[in-house]
Amino acid sequence: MGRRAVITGIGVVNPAGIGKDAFWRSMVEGRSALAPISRFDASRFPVRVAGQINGFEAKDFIPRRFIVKTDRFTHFALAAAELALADARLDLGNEDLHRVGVWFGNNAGGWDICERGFHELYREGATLVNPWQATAWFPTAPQGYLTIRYGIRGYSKSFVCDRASGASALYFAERAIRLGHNDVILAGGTEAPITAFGVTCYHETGELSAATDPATAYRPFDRRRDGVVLGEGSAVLILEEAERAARRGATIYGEIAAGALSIDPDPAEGLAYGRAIREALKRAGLAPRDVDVIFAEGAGTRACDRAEARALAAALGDEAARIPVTVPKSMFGHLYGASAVTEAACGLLAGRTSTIPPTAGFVEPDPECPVPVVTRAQERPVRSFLVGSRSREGASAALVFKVVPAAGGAG
Amino acid sequence: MSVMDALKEILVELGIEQDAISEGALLKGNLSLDSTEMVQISLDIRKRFGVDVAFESREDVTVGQVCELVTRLVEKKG
Repeated sequence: MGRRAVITGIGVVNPAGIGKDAFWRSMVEGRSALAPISRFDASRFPVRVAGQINGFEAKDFIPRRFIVKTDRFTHFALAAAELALADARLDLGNEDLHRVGVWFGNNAGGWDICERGFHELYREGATLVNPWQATAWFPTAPQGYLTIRYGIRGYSKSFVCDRASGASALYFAERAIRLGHNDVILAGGTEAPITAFGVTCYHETGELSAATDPATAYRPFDRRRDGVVLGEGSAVLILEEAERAARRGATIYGEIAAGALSIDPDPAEGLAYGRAIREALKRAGLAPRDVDVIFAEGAGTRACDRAEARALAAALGDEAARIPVTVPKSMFGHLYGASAVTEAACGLLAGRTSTIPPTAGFVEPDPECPVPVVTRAQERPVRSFLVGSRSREGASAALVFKVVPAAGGAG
Repeated sequence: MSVMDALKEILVELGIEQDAISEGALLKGNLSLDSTEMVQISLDIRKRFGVDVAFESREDVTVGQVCELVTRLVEKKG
Protein backbone atom coordinates (compact mmCIF):
# COMPACT_ATOMS: atom_id res chain seq x y z
CA MET A 1 0.00 0.00 0.00
CA GLY A 2 1.23 3.50 -0.81
CA ARG A 3 1.66 6.45 1.50
CA ARG A 4 -1.48 7.48 3.39
CA ALA A 5 -2.29 10.56 5.48
CA VAL A 6 -3.64 9.75 8.94
CA ILE A 7 -4.82 12.22 11.57
CA THR A 8 -3.06 11.99 14.93
CA GLY A 9 -3.98 15.28 16.59
CA ILE A 10 -6.92 17.68 16.75
CA GLY A 11 -6.77 21.32 17.87
CA VAL A 12 -9.95 23.40 17.99
CA VAL A 13 -10.45 27.06 18.89
CA ASN A 14 -14.13 27.67 18.33
CA PRO A 15 -17.01 29.80 19.65
CA ALA A 16 -18.52 26.55 21.00
CA GLY A 17 -15.39 25.68 22.96
CA ILE A 18 -11.61 25.93 23.15
CA GLY A 19 -9.94 22.53 22.94
CA LYS A 20 -11.53 19.48 21.32
CA ASP A 21 -13.21 18.16 24.48
CA ALA A 22 -15.02 21.38 25.42
CA PHE A 23 -15.97 21.91 21.78
CA TRP A 24 -17.30 18.40 21.37
CA ARG A 25 -19.39 18.56 24.54
CA SER A 26 -21.18 21.60 23.12
CA MET A 27 -21.69 19.83 19.81
CA VAL A 28 -23.27 16.65 21.17
CA GLU A 29 -25.41 18.66 23.56
CA GLY A 30 -26.59 20.79 20.63
CA ARG A 31 -25.58 23.99 22.44
CA SER A 32 -25.39 26.88 19.99
CA ALA A 33 -22.71 29.53 20.47
CA LEU A 34 -24.38 32.01 18.13
CA ALA A 35 -25.17 35.29 19.88
CA PRO A 36 -25.80 38.97 19.23
CA ILE A 37 -22.57 40.59 18.07
CA SER A 38 -20.77 42.11 21.06
CA ARG A 39 -17.27 42.66 19.64
CA PHE A 40 -18.33 46.07 18.33
CA ASP A 41 -21.52 48.14 18.38
CA ALA A 42 -23.62 46.37 15.76
CA SER A 43 -26.91 48.00 16.72
CA ARG A 44 -27.05 49.90 13.42
CA PHE A 45 -25.55 47.13 11.32
CA PRO A 46 -27.52 45.07 8.83
CA VAL A 47 -26.00 41.95 10.47
CA ARG A 48 -26.57 41.27 14.18
CA VAL A 49 -25.68 37.67 14.96
CA ALA A 50 -22.35 35.82 14.83
CA GLY A 51 -20.33 33.08 16.47
CA GLN A 52 -17.75 34.86 18.63
CA ILE A 53 -15.11 33.30 20.84
CA ASN A 54 -15.37 34.72 24.32
CA GLY A 55 -12.71 34.10 26.91
CA PHE A 56 -9.87 33.43 24.47
CA GLU A 57 -6.58 34.71 25.86
CA ALA A 58 -3.81 34.60 23.28
CA LYS A 59 -1.21 34.71 26.05
CA ASP A 60 -2.36 31.31 27.31
CA PHE A 61 -0.94 29.80 24.12
CA ILE A 62 1.51 32.21 22.49
CA PRO A 63 4.60 34.17 23.57
CA ARG A 64 4.05 37.93 23.67
CA ARG A 65 6.52 38.59 20.85
CA PHE A 66 4.21 36.66 18.50
CA ILE A 67 1.04 38.26 19.81
CA VAL A 68 2.10 41.86 19.17
CA LYS A 69 3.10 41.15 15.58
CA THR A 70 0.00 39.28 14.51
CA ASP A 71 -3.74 39.64 14.06
CA ARG A 72 -6.45 37.75 15.92
CA PHE A 73 -6.82 35.21 13.10
CA THR A 74 -3.18 34.24 13.49
CA HIS A 75 -3.57 34.06 17.29
CA PHE A 76 -6.35 31.50 16.77
CA ALA A 77 -4.15 29.52 14.38
CA LEU A 78 -1.14 29.49 16.71
CA ALA A 79 -3.37 28.39 19.61
CA ALA A 80 -5.08 25.64 17.60
CA ALA A 81 -1.68 24.36 16.44
CA GLU A 82 -0.43 24.17 20.04
CA LEU A 83 -3.54 22.21 21.02
CA ALA A 84 -3.21 19.87 18.04
CA LEU A 85 0.48 19.16 18.65
CA ALA A 86 -0.20 18.48 22.33
CA ASP A 87 -3.07 16.20 21.40
CA ALA A 88 -0.80 14.31 18.99
CA ARG A 89 1.95 14.16 21.62
CA LEU A 90 4.28 15.30 18.88
CA ASP A 91 7.41 17.28 19.73
CA LEU A 92 8.51 19.02 16.54
CA GLY A 93 11.91 19.53 18.15
CA ASN A 94 12.59 15.85 17.41
CA GLU A 95 11.49 16.01 13.76
CA ASP A 96 13.32 16.66 10.51
CA LEU A 97 11.76 20.10 10.01
CA HIS A 98 12.42 19.97 6.25
CA ARG A 99 9.78 17.19 6.10
CA VAL A 100 7.19 19.09 8.14
CA GLY A 101 4.75 21.44 6.38
CA VAL A 102 1.98 23.91 7.12
CA TRP A 103 -1.08 23.76 4.85
CA PHE A 104 -3.63 26.35 5.77
CA GLY A 105 -6.83 28.00 4.60
CA ASN A 106 -7.94 31.57 5.19
CA ASN A 107 -10.35 33.79 3.34
CA ALA A 108 -10.48 37.22 4.93
CA GLY A 109 -7.06 38.07 6.32
CA GLY A 110 -6.71 40.21 9.44
CA TRP A 111 -9.35 42.93 9.76
CA ASP A 112 -8.50 43.80 13.33
CA ILE A 113 -5.04 45.04 12.42
CA CYS A 114 -6.37 46.73 9.28
CA GLU A 115 -8.76 48.84 11.31
CA ARG A 116 -5.92 49.78 13.64
CA GLY A 117 -3.72 50.59 10.63
CA PHE A 118 -6.38 52.83 9.09
CA HIS A 119 -6.71 54.77 12.36
CA GLU A 120 -2.94 55.20 12.57
CA LEU A 121 -2.68 56.31 8.96
CA TYR A 122 -5.51 58.82 8.93
CA ARG A 123 -5.20 60.14 12.49
CA GLU A 124 -1.45 60.03 13.13
CA GLY A 125 0.09 59.99 9.68
CA ALA A 126 1.93 57.65 7.37
CA THR A 127 5.10 57.51 9.45
CA LEU A 128 3.29 56.20 12.52
CA VAL A 129 1.58 53.14 11.05
CA ASN A 130 2.52 50.00 12.96
CA PRO A 131 5.34 48.02 11.31
CA TRP A 132 3.30 44.80 11.21
CA GLN A 133 0.51 46.15 9.04
CA ALA A 134 1.97 44.82 5.79
CA THR A 135 2.55 41.27 7.02
CA ALA A 136 -0.08 40.74 9.71
CA TRP A 137 -3.21 41.34 7.63
CA PHE A 138 -2.21 38.94 4.88
CA PRO A 139 -3.95 35.53 4.53
CA THR A 140 -0.57 33.73 4.51
CA ALA A 141 0.37 35.17 7.93
CA PRO A 142 -0.71 32.05 9.85
CA GLN A 143 1.51 29.85 7.68
CA GLY A 144 4.37 32.30 8.14
CA TYR A 145 4.11 32.56 11.91
CA LEU A 146 3.53 28.84 12.41
CA THR A 147 6.68 28.07 10.45
CA ILE A 148 8.65 30.72 12.37
CA ARG A 149 7.34 29.54 15.73
CA TYR A 150 8.28 25.89 15.20
CA GLY A 151 11.21 26.33 12.79
CA ILE A 152 9.31 24.44 10.09
CA ARG A 153 11.10 24.36 6.72
CA GLY A 154 9.17 21.84 4.62
CA TYR A 155 6.81 22.27 1.68
CA SER A 156 3.93 24.55 2.78
CA LYS A 157 1.03 26.40 1.16
CA SER A 158 -1.87 28.73 1.99
CA PHE A 159 -5.25 28.69 0.27
CA VAL A 160 -7.77 31.45 -0.33
CA CYS A 161 -10.96 30.01 -1.80
CA ASP A 162 -13.91 31.63 -0.07
CA ARG A 163 -15.89 29.07 1.93
CA ALA A 164 -13.80 26.22 0.50
CA SER A 165 -10.45 27.63 1.71
CA GLY A 166 -10.05 25.09 4.50
CA ALA A 167 -11.19 22.19 2.34
CA SER A 168 -8.62 23.16 -0.29
CA ALA A 169 -5.88 23.10 2.34
CA LEU A 170 -6.91 19.61 3.49
CA TYR A 171 -7.20 18.32 -0.07
CA PHE A 172 -3.69 19.43 -1.02
CA ALA A 173 -2.19 18.47 2.35
CA GLU A 174 -3.34 14.86 1.91
CA ARG A 175 -1.83 14.93 -1.55
CA ALA A 176 1.49 16.30 -0.27
CA ILE A 177 1.79 13.39 2.17
CA ARG A 178 0.71 10.81 -0.41
CA LEU A 179 3.20 12.11 -3.00
CA GLY A 180 6.00 12.17 -0.45
CA HIS A 181 6.55 15.93 -0.14
CA ASN A 182 5.89 15.92 3.60
CA ASP A 183 5.83 13.38 6.44
CA VAL A 184 4.06 15.61 8.95
CA ILE A 185 1.64 18.46 8.22
CA LEU A 186 -0.13 21.02 10.37
CA ALA A 187 -3.26 21.17 8.22
CA GLY A 188 -5.87 23.67 9.14
CA GLY A 189 -7.53 26.98 8.70
CA THR A 190 -8.39 30.10 10.60
CA GLU A 191 -10.68 33.10 10.40
CA ALA A 192 -11.47 36.23 12.46
CA PRO A 193 -13.85 38.43 10.47
CA ILE A 194 -15.94 39.72 13.38
CA THR A 195 -14.87 43.36 13.23
CA ALA A 196 -16.96 46.31 12.03
CA PHE A 197 -15.10 46.39 8.73
CA GLY A 198 -14.94 42.62 8.27
CA VAL A 199 -18.66 42.13 8.81
CA THR A 200 -19.39 45.03 6.45
CA CYS A 201 -17.35 43.44 3.67
CA TYR A 202 -19.04 40.05 4.13
CA HIS A 203 -22.43 41.75 4.21
CA GLU A 204 -21.69 43.14 0.77
CA THR A 205 -21.67 39.60 -0.66
CA GLY A 206 -25.43 39.69 -0.06
CA GLU A 207 -25.25 36.26 1.54
CA LEU A 208 -25.31 37.01 5.27
CA SER A 209 -28.42 36.41 7.34
CA ALA A 210 -30.10 39.60 8.54
CA ALA A 211 -31.83 37.73 11.39
CA THR A 212 -31.65 39.22 14.87
CA ASP A 213 -32.57 36.11 16.88
CA PRO A 214 -29.56 33.83 17.40
CA ALA A 215 -31.83 30.79 17.79
CA THR A 216 -33.12 31.03 14.23
CA ALA A 217 -30.46 33.08 12.44
CA TYR A 218 -28.66 30.13 10.84
CA ARG A 219 -30.78 27.22 9.69
CA PRO A 220 -29.30 25.32 6.78
CA PHE A 221 -31.81 23.41 4.60
CA ASP A 222 -34.78 24.84 6.53
CA ARG A 223 -37.55 26.31 4.37
CA ARG A 224 -37.20 29.69 6.10
CA ARG A 225 -33.40 29.94 5.92
CA ASP A 226 -32.10 33.35 4.98
CA GLY A 227 -28.34 33.23 4.80
CA VAL A 228 -24.92 32.59 6.26
CA VAL A 229 -23.99 33.49 9.83
CA LEU A 230 -20.32 34.29 10.33
CA GLY A 231 -18.16 32.64 12.95
CA GLU A 232 -14.52 32.93 13.98
CA GLY A 233 -11.95 30.40 15.03
CA SER A 234 -9.41 27.87 13.91
CA ALA A 235 -8.97 24.14 13.59
CA VAL A 236 -5.72 22.25 13.05
CA LEU A 237 -5.28 18.57 12.29
CA ILE A 238 -1.91 16.87 12.60
CA LEU A 239 -1.49 14.74 9.48
CA GLU A 240 1.20 12.10 9.43
CA GLU A 241 2.28 9.50 6.95
CA ALA A 242 0.55 6.34 8.19
CA GLU A 243 3.58 4.11 8.69
CA ARG A 244 5.60 6.63 10.66
CA ALA A 245 2.57 7.42 12.80
CA ALA A 246 2.19 3.72 13.60
CA ARG A 247 5.95 3.41 14.28
CA ARG A 248 5.91 6.16 16.89
CA GLY A 249 2.81 4.65 18.48
CA ALA A 250 0.62 7.67 17.79
CA THR A 251 -3.09 7.61 18.52
CA ILE A 252 -4.76 7.56 15.12
CA TYR A 253 -8.20 9.13 14.75
CA GLY A 254 -8.63 8.19 11.14
CA GLU A 255 -7.39 8.99 7.67
CA ILE A 256 -8.19 11.25 4.77
CA ALA A 257 -9.09 8.43 2.42
CA ALA A 258 -9.55 10.61 -0.67
CA GLY A 259 -10.73 13.93 -1.96
CA ALA A 260 -11.84 15.56 -5.18
CA LEU A 261 -12.29 19.13 -6.40
CA SER A 262 -14.55 20.57 -9.07
CA ILE A 263 -16.00 23.83 -10.32
CA ASP A 264 -19.59 24.47 -11.29
CA PRO A 265 -19.67 27.03 -14.10
CA ASP A 266 -23.12 27.90 -12.74
CA PRO A 267 -22.84 27.87 -8.93
CA ALA A 268 -26.61 27.42 -8.58
CA GLU A 269 -26.38 24.07 -10.38
CA GLY A 270 -24.21 21.82 -8.22
CA LEU A 271 -23.67 19.13 -10.84
CA ALA A 272 -19.89 19.41 -10.73
CA TYR A 273 -20.08 19.31 -6.93
CA GLY A 274 -22.00 16.04 -7.26
CA ARG A 275 -19.29 14.69 -9.54
CA ALA A 276 -16.62 15.62 -6.97
CA ILE A 277 -18.52 13.65 -4.32
CA ARG A 278 -18.77 10.61 -6.57
CA GLU A 279 -15.12 10.87 -7.58
CA ALA A 280 -13.94 11.19 -3.96
CA LEU A 281 -15.92 8.09 -2.96
CA LYS A 282 -14.53 6.16 -5.91
CA ARG A 283 -10.95 7.14 -5.07
CA ALA A 284 -11.58 6.08 -1.46
CA GLY A 285 -12.85 2.70 -2.68
CA LEU A 286 -16.25 3.28 -1.06
CA ALA A 287 -19.84 3.12 -2.27
CA PRO A 288 -22.53 5.60 -1.16
CA ARG A 289 -23.95 2.96 1.21
CA ASP A 290 -20.64 2.97 3.14
CA VAL A 291 -21.05 6.63 4.15
CA ASP A 292 -22.34 6.92 7.72
CA VAL A 293 -22.81 10.69 7.84
CA ILE A 294 -22.36 13.75 5.64
CA PHE A 295 -21.05 17.03 7.02
CA ALA A 296 -22.58 19.32 4.42
CA GLU A 297 -21.52 22.79 3.37
CA GLY A 298 -24.95 24.03 4.49
CA ALA A 299 -24.24 27.66 3.76
CA GLY A 300 -27.84 28.51 4.60
CA THR A 301 -28.58 30.64 1.55
CA ARG A 302 -31.54 29.67 -0.58
CA ALA A 303 -29.51 28.92 -3.71
CA CYS A 304 -26.52 27.18 -2.07
CA ASP A 305 -28.56 24.70 -0.07
CA ARG A 306 -30.78 23.91 -3.04
CA ALA A 307 -27.74 23.24 -5.24
CA GLU A 308 -26.14 21.12 -2.52
CA ALA A 309 -29.26 18.99 -2.09
CA ARG A 310 -29.27 18.44 -5.85
CA ALA A 311 -25.58 17.49 -5.82
CA LEU A 312 -26.06 14.97 -3.01
CA ALA A 313 -29.03 13.39 -4.80
CA ALA A 314 -27.10 13.13 -8.06
CA ALA A 315 -24.00 11.67 -6.40
CA LEU A 316 -25.61 9.25 -3.97
CA GLY A 317 -28.76 8.10 -5.74
CA ASP A 318 -31.23 6.27 -3.49
CA GLU A 319 -28.77 6.42 -0.59
CA ALA A 320 -29.21 10.22 -0.45
CA ALA A 321 -32.53 9.74 1.32
CA ARG A 322 -30.90 7.54 3.99
CA ILE A 323 -27.49 9.00 4.85
CA PRO A 324 -27.83 11.51 7.70
CA VAL A 325 -26.76 15.03 6.82
CA THR A 326 -25.62 17.42 9.53
CA VAL A 327 -24.33 20.98 9.68
CA PRO A 328 -22.78 21.57 13.11
CA LYS A 329 -21.57 25.00 11.95
CA SER A 330 -25.19 26.07 12.54
CA MET A 331 -24.04 26.17 16.19
CA PHE A 332 -20.87 28.27 15.76
CA GLY A 333 -21.16 30.04 12.41
CA HIS A 334 -19.44 29.57 9.09
CA LEU A 335 -15.68 29.53 9.54
CA TYR A 336 -14.66 29.83 5.85
CA GLY A 337 -10.91 29.11 6.13
CA ALA A 338 -11.46 26.88 9.16
CA SER A 339 -14.58 25.33 7.70
CA ALA A 340 -14.22 21.73 6.48
CA VAL A 341 -11.26 21.35 8.88
CA THR A 342 -13.61 21.88 11.82
CA GLU A 343 -16.15 19.54 10.19
CA ALA A 344 -13.40 16.95 9.70
CA ALA A 345 -12.64 17.24 13.42
CA CYS A 346 -16.36 16.76 14.11
CA GLY A 347 -16.43 13.61 11.99
CA LEU A 348 -13.37 12.13 13.69
CA LEU A 349 -14.82 12.90 17.12
CA ALA A 350 -18.16 11.48 16.00
CA GLY A 351 -16.26 8.31 15.15
CA ARG A 352 -14.58 8.31 18.56
CA THR A 353 -17.80 8.82 20.49
CA SER A 354 -20.27 7.15 18.09
CA THR A 355 -22.38 10.30 18.19
CA ILE A 356 -23.50 12.49 15.30
CA PRO A 357 -23.91 16.15 16.26
CA PRO A 358 -27.14 17.93 15.29
CA THR A 359 -27.99 20.85 13.05
CA ALA A 360 -29.34 23.62 15.26
CA GLY A 361 -32.24 25.75 14.14
CA PHE A 362 -33.56 23.29 11.58
CA VAL A 363 -37.33 22.98 11.97
CA GLU A 364 -39.20 23.05 8.72
CA PRO A 365 -38.03 20.91 5.80
CA ASP A 366 -37.85 22.50 2.38
CA PRO A 367 -39.31 20.42 -0.48
CA GLU A 368 -36.50 21.84 -2.61
CA CYS A 369 -33.88 20.41 -0.23
CA PRO A 370 -35.01 16.89 0.55
CA VAL A 371 -32.02 15.87 2.70
CA PRO A 372 -32.31 13.89 5.95
CA VAL A 373 -31.07 16.59 8.34
CA VAL A 374 -29.99 15.48 11.82
CA THR A 375 -31.89 17.65 14.29
CA ARG A 376 -30.89 15.90 17.49
CA ALA A 377 -27.61 14.19 18.41
CA GLN A 378 -27.75 10.57 17.24
CA GLU A 379 -25.87 7.68 18.78
CA ARG A 380 -24.59 5.43 16.02
CA PRO A 381 -21.28 4.13 14.76
CA VAL A 382 -19.40 6.34 12.31
CA ARG A 383 -16.81 4.45 10.26
CA SER A 384 -16.62 6.71 7.23
CA PHE A 385 -17.88 10.17 6.60
CA LEU A 386 -17.98 12.79 3.90
CA VAL A 387 -17.20 16.49 4.25
CA GLY A 388 -18.58 18.80 1.59
CA SER A 389 -17.40 22.34 1.07
CA ARG A 390 -18.33 24.92 -1.54
CA SER A 391 -17.39 28.46 -2.45
CA ARG A 392 -19.94 31.06 -3.43
CA GLU A 393 -18.83 30.90 -7.05
CA GLY A 394 -19.01 27.12 -7.32
CA ALA A 395 -15.55 25.78 -6.43
CA SER A 396 -16.35 22.57 -4.58
CA ALA A 397 -14.47 20.02 -2.54
CA ALA A 398 -15.50 16.59 -1.32
CA LEU A 399 -13.35 14.81 1.25
CA VAL A 400 -13.84 11.24 2.41
CA PHE A 401 -12.53 10.14 5.80
CA LYS A 402 -12.22 6.70 7.36
CA VAL A 403 -12.34 6.51 11.13
CA VAL A 404 -10.08 4.32 13.22
CA PRO A 405 -12.04 3.07 16.25
CA ALA A 406 -10.61 3.95 19.65
CA ALA A 407 -8.33 1.20 20.98
CA GLY A 408 -10.34 -1.13 23.18
CA GLY A 409 -13.52 0.73 22.35
CA ALA A 410 -16.56 -0.39 20.44
CA GLY A 411 -17.40 0.60 16.90
CA MET B 1 10.41 58.92 32.98
CA SER B 2 14.07 58.55 32.08
CA VAL B 3 15.03 57.57 28.55
CA MET B 4 16.34 54.24 29.85
CA ASP B 5 13.08 53.44 31.65
CA ALA B 6 11.11 54.35 28.52
CA LEU B 7 13.33 52.13 26.39
CA LYS B 8 12.86 49.23 28.81
CA GLU B 9 9.11 49.74 28.69
CA ILE B 10 9.13 49.70 24.88
CA LEU B 11 11.12 46.45 24.84
CA VAL B 12 8.90 44.75 27.42
CA GLU B 13 5.87 45.84 25.41
CA LEU B 14 7.39 43.97 22.46
CA GLY B 15 7.60 40.84 24.57
CA ILE B 16 11.30 40.93 25.47
CA GLU B 17 11.97 39.39 28.88
CA GLN B 18 12.74 42.04 31.50
CA ASP B 19 15.78 40.06 32.71
CA ALA B 20 17.37 40.07 29.25
CA ILE B 21 17.36 43.88 29.04
CA SER B 22 20.57 45.56 30.17
CA GLU B 23 22.64 48.55 29.00
CA GLY B 24 25.12 46.27 27.31
CA ALA B 25 22.58 44.07 25.51
CA LEU B 26 22.82 44.24 21.70
CA LEU B 27 19.40 44.71 20.07
CA LYS B 28 20.02 42.06 17.41
CA GLY B 29 22.91 40.05 18.80
CA ASN B 30 21.46 39.52 22.28
CA LEU B 31 17.77 40.37 22.12
CA SER B 32 17.40 39.00 18.56
CA LEU B 33 15.05 41.77 17.48
CA ASP B 34 13.88 41.58 13.89
CA SER B 35 13.55 44.48 11.47
CA THR B 36 9.86 45.12 12.29
CA GLU B 37 10.64 45.29 15.99
CA MET B 38 13.42 47.80 15.28
CA VAL B 39 10.92 49.94 13.35
CA GLN B 40 8.50 49.77 16.26
CA ILE B 41 11.22 51.01 18.63
CA SER B 42 11.82 54.00 16.32
CA LEU B 43 8.08 54.74 16.16
CA ASP B 44 7.70 54.52 19.90
CA ILE B 45 10.70 56.80 20.49
CA ARG B 46 9.26 59.35 18.06
CA LYS B 47 5.88 59.25 19.84
CA ARG B 48 7.41 59.63 23.29
CA PHE B 49 10.31 62.03 22.64
CA GLY B 50 9.59 63.63 19.27
CA VAL B 51 12.98 62.66 17.84
CA ASP B 52 13.90 60.42 14.94
CA VAL B 53 16.23 57.48 15.50
CA ALA B 54 17.07 55.65 12.31
CA PHE B 55 18.69 52.26 12.85
CA GLU B 56 21.23 51.18 10.25
CA SER B 57 19.98 47.83 9.01
CA ARG B 58 23.41 46.20 9.11
CA GLU B 59 24.71 47.61 12.34
CA ASP B 60 23.94 46.37 15.80
CA VAL B 61 23.72 48.69 18.80
CA THR B 62 23.33 48.20 22.53
CA VAL B 63 20.40 49.38 24.63
CA GLY B 64 22.82 51.84 26.30
CA GLN B 65 23.89 53.31 22.95
CA VAL B 66 20.26 53.86 21.89
CA CYS B 67 19.66 55.55 25.22
CA GLU B 68 22.64 57.91 24.71
CA LEU B 69 21.56 58.71 21.16
CA VAL B 70 18.01 59.57 22.18
CA THR B 71 19.26 61.69 25.10
CA ARG B 72 21.61 63.60 22.76
CA LEU B 73 18.85 64.21 20.17
CA VAL B 74 16.41 65.38 22.83
CA GLU B 75 19.02 67.84 24.22
CA LYS B 76 19.80 69.11 20.71
CA LYS B 77 16.12 69.65 20.07
CA GLY B 78 16.04 71.77 23.23
